Amino acid sequence: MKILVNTIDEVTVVILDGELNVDDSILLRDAFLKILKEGAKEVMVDFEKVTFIGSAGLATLIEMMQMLRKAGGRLGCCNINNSIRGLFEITKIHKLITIYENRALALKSF
Amino acid sequence: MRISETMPSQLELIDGFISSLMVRLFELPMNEDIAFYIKLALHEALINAVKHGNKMREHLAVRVDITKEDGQLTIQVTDQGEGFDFKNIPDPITPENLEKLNGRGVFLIQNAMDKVEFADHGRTIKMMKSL
Repeated sequence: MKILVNTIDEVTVVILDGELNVDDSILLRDAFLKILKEGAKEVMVDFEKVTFIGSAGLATLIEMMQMLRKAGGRLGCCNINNSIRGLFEITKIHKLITIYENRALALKSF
Repeated sequence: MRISETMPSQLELIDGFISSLMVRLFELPMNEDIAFYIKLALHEALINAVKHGNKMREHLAVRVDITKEDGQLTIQVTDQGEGFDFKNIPDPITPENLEKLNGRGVFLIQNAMDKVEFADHGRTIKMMKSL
């Protein structure tokens, strides 16, 4: 998986490209810990190029949300495809992490 | 179609193992959604077998048997661990469990597949889906 980090108007945008499986969830966690250490509070994960997520990826997102909440920040996700959105809904993770239709809408509301 | 493969209990091998199985499964007629859910079920069943079943003991194997008969795909994943109480799996979507980092695997499998059964004290999970 490729992970690209951009900062737009004080929001840290994490752009993922690939599958959020066992190994790549660890990569995402490591990348997140680095940006958290650098002081990021508002984090948006862009799923436009993510084709798969399993429980390891879902757990990483929950952990990121918890760490940001503790730091007084928040986590959002955008550009999620229908299959992945379905998983967010059946696991009720969409109640923990706000999902935005696209990046523009997400940045506007952050 | 009939596939039987084994892998050692190493988490870092799961992604590659699934990819090699999916290449063969893509020979079957299935749309993107069904492929996503089959991959998800395999992913979760293998993590459970390696992590919770065989408890990461590398010398213990995980076996995957896949058959397709009369439009039904059956995937069976078997570990060599001590088994588990599959009748008392906590519900991951109750408020007290919602933020837990573990415990979603079987729930995801049950949602991804049409039918799920356990055998041999939980060492084997049998997952079925119509194609």
